[in-house]
Amino acid sequence: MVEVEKKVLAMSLIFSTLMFVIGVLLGRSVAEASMSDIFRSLEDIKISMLTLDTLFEMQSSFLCDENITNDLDVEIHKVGKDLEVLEKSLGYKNDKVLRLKEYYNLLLLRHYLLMMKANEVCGQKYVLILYFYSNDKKYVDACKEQGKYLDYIVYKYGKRVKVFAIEGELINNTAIRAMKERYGVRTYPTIIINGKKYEGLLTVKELEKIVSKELQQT
Amino acid sequence: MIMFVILYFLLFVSSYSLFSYLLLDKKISKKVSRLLKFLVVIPAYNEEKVIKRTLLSFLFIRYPKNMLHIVVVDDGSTDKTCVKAEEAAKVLRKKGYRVDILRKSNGGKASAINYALKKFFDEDFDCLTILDADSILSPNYFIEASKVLSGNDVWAAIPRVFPARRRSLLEKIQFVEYETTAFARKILAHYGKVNVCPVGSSIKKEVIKKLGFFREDDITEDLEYGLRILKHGGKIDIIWKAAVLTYVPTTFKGLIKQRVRWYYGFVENSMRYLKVFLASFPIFLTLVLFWYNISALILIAYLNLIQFIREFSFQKSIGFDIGYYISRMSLPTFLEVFGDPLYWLIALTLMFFYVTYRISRGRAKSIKEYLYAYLYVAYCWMILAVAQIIALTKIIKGEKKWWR
Repeated sequence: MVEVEKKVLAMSLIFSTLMFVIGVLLGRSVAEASMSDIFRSLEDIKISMLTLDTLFEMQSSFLCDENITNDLDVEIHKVGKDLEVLEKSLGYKNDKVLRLKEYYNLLLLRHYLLMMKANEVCGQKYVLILYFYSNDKKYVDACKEQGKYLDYIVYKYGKRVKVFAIEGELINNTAIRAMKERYGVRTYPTIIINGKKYEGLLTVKELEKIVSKELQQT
Repeated sequence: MIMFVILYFLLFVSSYSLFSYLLLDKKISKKVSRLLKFLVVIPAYNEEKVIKRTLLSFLFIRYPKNMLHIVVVDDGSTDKTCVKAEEAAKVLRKKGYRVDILRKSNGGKASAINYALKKFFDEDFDCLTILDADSILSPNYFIEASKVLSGNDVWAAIPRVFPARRRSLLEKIQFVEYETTAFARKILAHYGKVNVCPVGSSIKKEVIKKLGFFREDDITEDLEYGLRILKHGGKIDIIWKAAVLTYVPTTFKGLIKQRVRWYYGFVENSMRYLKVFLASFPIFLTLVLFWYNISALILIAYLNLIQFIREFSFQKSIGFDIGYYISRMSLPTFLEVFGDPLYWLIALTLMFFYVTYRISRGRAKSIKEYLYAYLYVAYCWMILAVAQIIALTKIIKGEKKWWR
């Protein structure tokens, strides 16, 4: 090969690699930069939850006010979506992402417990679905499907059904582990609907049946 | 992951062509040292509608009339091709051109060219020019060809090929395609590795003497001959300043049919001349591009198919609830778009494609034309890959002579 031809080849390899790296870095840096925003949103959620907690201690009638919990749900849902993007962009095993998810999942658990209490105090109003999933390669496909089905259930039954999705495998947190132990979670997806455990992928039909039965009981 | 590999390769090919174009020597066209004598062969099979126009276009050619010998070979047409050609020939002869019309039984394009060659090979000419019955040479063609072919190391010269019309969308997109092809050929010419003698190319007589006539059993005899020249160490140069206008298919069906023929010939010849393809990187890249296009499409189609099947079974279980989809529809958030490296890469690749395209054209054009350039990218992946797949299945099935 002539000297110039080698130069062309080398330059184009370097240049295309450079462009590639720039593209990836740009995407990742935007994702990383958004982390502080997400953290701030989580702080907001924490404050709202602390408020609910305090209301509960005060045994205030505000606790049974649907608007307060609904606003919280919207906020939580938004943060959850952002976290999904971060996982896609930075990888689901990224330390910072996992750290944020730990925070997020803890808040979700706290919310779940609060809603259980709310059900007791205000008379059962909500169908609470605790959904253990995992992004681990072994489970990720089934969990993605399950997530889609649950989204549909929430759409269909509206505000009376609440889903709390917890990453059960990748996050090392004592509270999450304790929750898993309480329900004996061994595999993913595992769904706890108003305290009853269902292992493995539930189809839309099965979910509809269970949820409508639970709704009738209230 | 797959998308990243696909995009990286696209970036590499774009930058390779751009740097080749910018860094390699640009040929300064020489002065005409000697006017060459051309034997122009026009094979025609059922071309009554266009043959007259093609022949009469020689009236616009700026070149000494006695240096051109035009031969139309009627390859067993069943229509009035011969009559129409004779009508035009009369006009040309009156103006002092030498025009011959030969008739033979049908045997394909290569056989028609060979037929004319056999008949006139002993006569005095320097170069053979092959023209399609529906193609028109630019008036400066023979002068520019003489310049390029005056180099001793040049065995053959090819012009830039463009669609004659740009009315329908399909023609406009094909125009971008032909431009891109011309650019690619120019880069290959920089390396001395143009591998095809398409419509309007001129081949020196001594080369034909050495390498023989065209292969009559090949559907892409132009590609075969180009590769044969390369195999024997020859060089094909591009006549950048001259063009040949050709009528391109205006329907999808016609287009697919044409491309299946091309790709069938390409795969056949790439197997036959594998050594030529492996001997030099730029040519090897053309081979890789062919397989890249087809495998990228198959991969993406496969992944989408899995997605589609899952989606369909989900849809079925919710009774095809459209309301659900409408409720979920929303504009993507800032993070969803800009936080994803994939979108950045797609944007960068398209931007880079734009830069390369712009530089290859040499002058600024309207934004609308860039739009066609991007449509061309989509077209490459849809139509061309479909044609590639059809061609491959024909080869695997062992279908021969299916194009007749």
